[in-house]
Amino acid sequence: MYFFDPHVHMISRVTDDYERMARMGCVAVSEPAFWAGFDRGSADGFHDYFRQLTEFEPQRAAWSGIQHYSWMCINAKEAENVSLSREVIKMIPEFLDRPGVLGIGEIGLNKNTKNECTVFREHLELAAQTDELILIHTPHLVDKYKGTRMIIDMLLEDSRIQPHRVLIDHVEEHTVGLAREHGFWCAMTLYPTTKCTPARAADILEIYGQDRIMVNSAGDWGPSNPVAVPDFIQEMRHRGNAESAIKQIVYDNPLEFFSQSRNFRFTPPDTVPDQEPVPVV
Amino acid sequence: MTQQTSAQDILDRHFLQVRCGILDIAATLDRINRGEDAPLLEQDQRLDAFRRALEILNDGGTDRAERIQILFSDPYVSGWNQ
Repeated sequence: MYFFDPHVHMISRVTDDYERMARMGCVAVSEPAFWAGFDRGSADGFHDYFRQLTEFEPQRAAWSGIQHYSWMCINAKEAENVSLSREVIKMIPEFLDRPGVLGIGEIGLNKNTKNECTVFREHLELAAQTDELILIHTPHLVDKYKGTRMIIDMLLEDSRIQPHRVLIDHVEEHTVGLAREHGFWCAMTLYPTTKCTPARAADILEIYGQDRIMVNSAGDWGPSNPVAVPDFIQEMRHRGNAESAIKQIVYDNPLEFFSQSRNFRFTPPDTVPDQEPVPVV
Repeated sequence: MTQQTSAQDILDRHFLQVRCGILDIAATLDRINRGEDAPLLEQDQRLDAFRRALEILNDGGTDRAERIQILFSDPYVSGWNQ
């Protein structure tokens, strides 16, 4: 089955991972800007990172036949440094019209601090000015519930932010309802120990339904599994779900959400090679 | 999308996995109690959270996962942005 991984940090994965993902049916990945595991020292560091996301990673993905998209921001962890964050936010517009850049993300909260909220709101201001899609990181573990509610409060403060253009990521049992009740898209992250499992993700779908929801691996430099989406596909098959129902979660829903971005140009996998690919609208 | 398998099928499929998980928890709690400073941890909030989580596991229903998530979460403070 063809699938998207709508949130994966391929910059921290080896090229062999792209190849494994492709062999298991991955046709596209979406890569938000994130924390590299250390605090970057300058805005120039971010500039080089954004160039890598928008120039080299699409090439590297293409070696395996995978289409690569990206998002721009300063992540929630480094957002504690407000002055650096403002330098980075000022630089983001330079990248927003590059091919494959889908919007602002992954913005959000980490420890739910005042500085993080300030920088989050300034990202929202930028996104509203240029009508970008928004991808949201909700905090880990003990901070997730409180942080998700604070994030939703801030999203609802600004009437220019349209819920159908916002994806709230890393939702779990206690936060998925919060995202959905306000009309946002959401995603479940299949990441060992600290986030969701394929089985729990399938449970959440049984309870909440299949609209406006997707799954991802958020594979990164930590112990993680870039083929977690195929694990989810298999779990859904074990439960007797129709192929069309599974495809809705792993292909149709990401396609629908990303198609709202002006820079999303996608060649479906069944396109005959010698025909001109048709942009998905 | 509704649940498509019977409770019997689910129990049959997951019995060994859950048994393994319960043994992991039991072994970890035993390991903690064998630690030299175990008595000093009697009041550790994390151990208290484990005990409360185990009570939730035992009281039935279909929302135990969500209740345990809330148990392990910081509370939301209404009016934080005013």
